[in-house]
Amino acid sequence: MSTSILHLPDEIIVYILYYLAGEPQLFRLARAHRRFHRLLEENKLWLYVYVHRFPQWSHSLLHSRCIQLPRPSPPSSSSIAAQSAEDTLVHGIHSWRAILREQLERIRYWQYVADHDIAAHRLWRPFLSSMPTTTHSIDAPTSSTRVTPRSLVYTNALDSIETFGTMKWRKDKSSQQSADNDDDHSSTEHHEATITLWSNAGSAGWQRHAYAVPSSMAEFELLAANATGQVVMLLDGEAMAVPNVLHICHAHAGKLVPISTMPLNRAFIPRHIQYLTPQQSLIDTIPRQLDNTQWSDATLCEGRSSTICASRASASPSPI
Amino acid sequence: MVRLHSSEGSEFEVERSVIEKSLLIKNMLDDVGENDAAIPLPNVSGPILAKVIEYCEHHRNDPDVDGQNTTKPGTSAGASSPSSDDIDEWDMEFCRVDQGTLYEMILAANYLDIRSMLDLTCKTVANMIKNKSPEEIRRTFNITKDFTPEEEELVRRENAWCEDR
Repeated sequence: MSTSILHLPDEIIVYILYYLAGEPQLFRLARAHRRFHRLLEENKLWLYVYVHRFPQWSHSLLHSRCIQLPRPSPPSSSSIAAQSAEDTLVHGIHSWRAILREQLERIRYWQYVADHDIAAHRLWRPFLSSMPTTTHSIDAPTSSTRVTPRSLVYTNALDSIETFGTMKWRKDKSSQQSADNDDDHSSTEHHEATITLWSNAGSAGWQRHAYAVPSSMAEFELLAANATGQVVMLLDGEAMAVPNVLHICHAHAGKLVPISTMPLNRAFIPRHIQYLTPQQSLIDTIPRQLDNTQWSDATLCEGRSSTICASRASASPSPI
Repeated sequence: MVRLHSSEGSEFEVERSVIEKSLLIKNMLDDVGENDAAIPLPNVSGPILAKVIEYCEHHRNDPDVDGQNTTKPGTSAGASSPSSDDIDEWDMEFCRVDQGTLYEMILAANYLDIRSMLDLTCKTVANMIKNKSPEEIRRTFNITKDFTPEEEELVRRENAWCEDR
């Protein structure tokens, strides 16, 4: 008779490990034996961990449908980013381990900021204080829907998300109805992501301008273009499984004019967790740019559709 | 009735409706039709076959596993992640056996393609892993440590980011 679990074939052991996707012990197992360490490299296992950790966001996400995400070139200084990129290339599908890590680090970053109430935080406070706090929900947008600071990661995901399996923009006609009725969950599964637009039109400070579940980029652009002053696009989701870029735009003549682009990728965040101090932080950097923006030439977007993609393509990442 | 031969040659008689929980046997019976010949199961010993039959008899009226009441790890991540917490009392008692027998039951369930039994036995092993340190896991499963302390530390650091998630 087999007296050790190691006598079981690999596929059975992996099958057992699936049941531990929600347990930290899953990863401790890697230290118990080389074979476990090897089996824990199984990509689908990490998908399960991701699904367990982010059940709403990963709803109906199929491993086999995943395709390679467009990713910004990672800085050479980040071994994590390099490894993530390599994983993605090698497998030709998402590296769920890398995506999970990226996501958790992002969450920890914002948690760190919230927990430490760092001095730089005050620069964000006018913005954050006008937003309700903390929830995991990405259910139907309601007037009481709350967002976490970690959701302040913006978005070239607008592009990426459309390539991301079932996580496409959907417009649900009943969203407004459910927005007014927290008890009505009938349509919540359709709201896989929403966008909030915040604008700063001077003395009024940051104000929520629009809340939308856009069905297309065009619709979103229309919403954004109707904002005034500086515009920040907030993608609200339980998790952001893609590298993100903060786009700060100016709504001008019905178009979005890119002001600056701030990469918020997986390489960026760990680096700033490491060096985050009350004196120097990511939070310290972004609001200065918001306040002291060098307004770009409005002609930048003249003659072509003012898309967020255009702003990403034309604007250089700000020095950090 | 269907006759089954275990690896040592022991013979078991069981109702067709019971043993059809095994997809392997169900397909075999569907293919060959009614037949008096015993079905040889060279990968399953007598005591384990007895456990399999006990399981099938108890769960004979359960809906098909491929129906709606189970999550099937490794096939779809969409609905939910699998859980090992939903084991009923009878099943828990059924799996209260020594580890060697439990592993044989897993292999038999896999060979005979009895999905619900495979789920149950794998969940039981998963529950044995829960809340244990690597050292406790090694002790529980009779595993010889094959990492050097340096390697183990390296692996610990490699996974440190996800252990406190």
